[in-house]
Amino acid sequence: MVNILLLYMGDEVSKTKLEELYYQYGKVMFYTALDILNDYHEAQDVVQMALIKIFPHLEKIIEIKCNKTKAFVVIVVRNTAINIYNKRKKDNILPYDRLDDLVETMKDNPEQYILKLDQGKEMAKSLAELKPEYADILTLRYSYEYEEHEISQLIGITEGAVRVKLSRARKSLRGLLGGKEYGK
Amino acid sequence: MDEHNESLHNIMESYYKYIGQCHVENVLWEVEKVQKEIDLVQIPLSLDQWFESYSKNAKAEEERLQKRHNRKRMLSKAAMFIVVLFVSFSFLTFTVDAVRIKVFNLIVDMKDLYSGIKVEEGIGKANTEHVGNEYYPKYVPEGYVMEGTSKTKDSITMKYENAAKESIVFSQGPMRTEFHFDTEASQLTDVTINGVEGVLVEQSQSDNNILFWNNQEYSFYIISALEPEILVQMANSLEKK
Repeated sequence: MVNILLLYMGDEVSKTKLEELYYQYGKVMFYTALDILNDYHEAQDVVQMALIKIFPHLEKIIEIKCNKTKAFVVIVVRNTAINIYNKRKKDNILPYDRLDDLVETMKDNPEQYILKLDQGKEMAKSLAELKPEYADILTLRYSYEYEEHEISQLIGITEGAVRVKLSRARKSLRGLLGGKEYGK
Repeated sequence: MDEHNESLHNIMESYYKYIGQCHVENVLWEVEKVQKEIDLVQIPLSLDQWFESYSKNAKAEEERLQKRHNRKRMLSKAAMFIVVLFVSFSFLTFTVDAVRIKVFNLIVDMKDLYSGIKVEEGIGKANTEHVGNEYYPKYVPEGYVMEGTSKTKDSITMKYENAAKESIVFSQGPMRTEFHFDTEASQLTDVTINGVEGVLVEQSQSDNNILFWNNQEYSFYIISALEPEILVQMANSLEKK
């Protein structure tokens, strides 16, 4: 059921970017938060927090009605919800790092790897399965081009934590590449 | 980082960007899978109400910041204009009169009955120290002798008289001294005394002429019924004792 307020906002000739964002993605934001937290009130809190976090970065968003913005909103809400989930259930924190056994030799030299450019989606999916926030943070940094302090503000962790997770995300990806030497 | 490593680094950066874009597609695909469920979601009224309030505050805050930004911009433009004006004026002043160390702006404030004449120091190095030595006119018209002098804290007035009791009053005071003269039905003429701008006031009602000018230290005036040319001659003959 579309709320009367949303309808009213939809009929206005000119809306602010924030209003447009909420009108366009309010439902998907709420659904994403509810899916993780399974609690109406906490899901509301997450949506509010996400909007407050996104607001200072609205200028960077060129087009509200586009898939990139939709994915961005989902990523922010998801990470905000995960943070609340982790705080709420400390004993059920998502596995912190299942990567150590996967990564054998960490080398920065990409000549060691086949980049598997035709399997980008699978690689991204594998990374997300390993740890969702790795994929999200990597995406915010490289695809959306947010700086570390901006990512910190968006997903509610410290800047130091962002750097660590980013570093681990990169390592994870290299690990997933398999370490197979190019040409062999 | 050498060139080779830099290239490799750039390759990996691009790769991460590519994976990020793939991840975005994955996220969208996941959302699409549950789109029907999303469409059925009912957003709580309290969330809508919260957003309405937040949005209003956010708008007001944006407008306030925009106004502040505009104000800052205008102020900086005004400041820049003043700086440019100041620099241009300074440049003009120093190039026109390189010998003098001070520039004086003669300000004549025309009021209905009286004119106030004051010398204001303009741009340049200021020297307002009272030296302590008075100026005297070397040339005094024939028949006139000094009748007396009067001193206030800063100014000195000398009175010359002839046998017919016709007088010449000569006064000097430090810079910024303001003198008031009756200029009703008078004619004001710009004159030059020793290369400095002065003012001649020819009063029709009293037959008196007032000559006002300054040098680097003092402001002077002479009041007399004598012809303006004589007053100017007296003024040009000033010297310190």
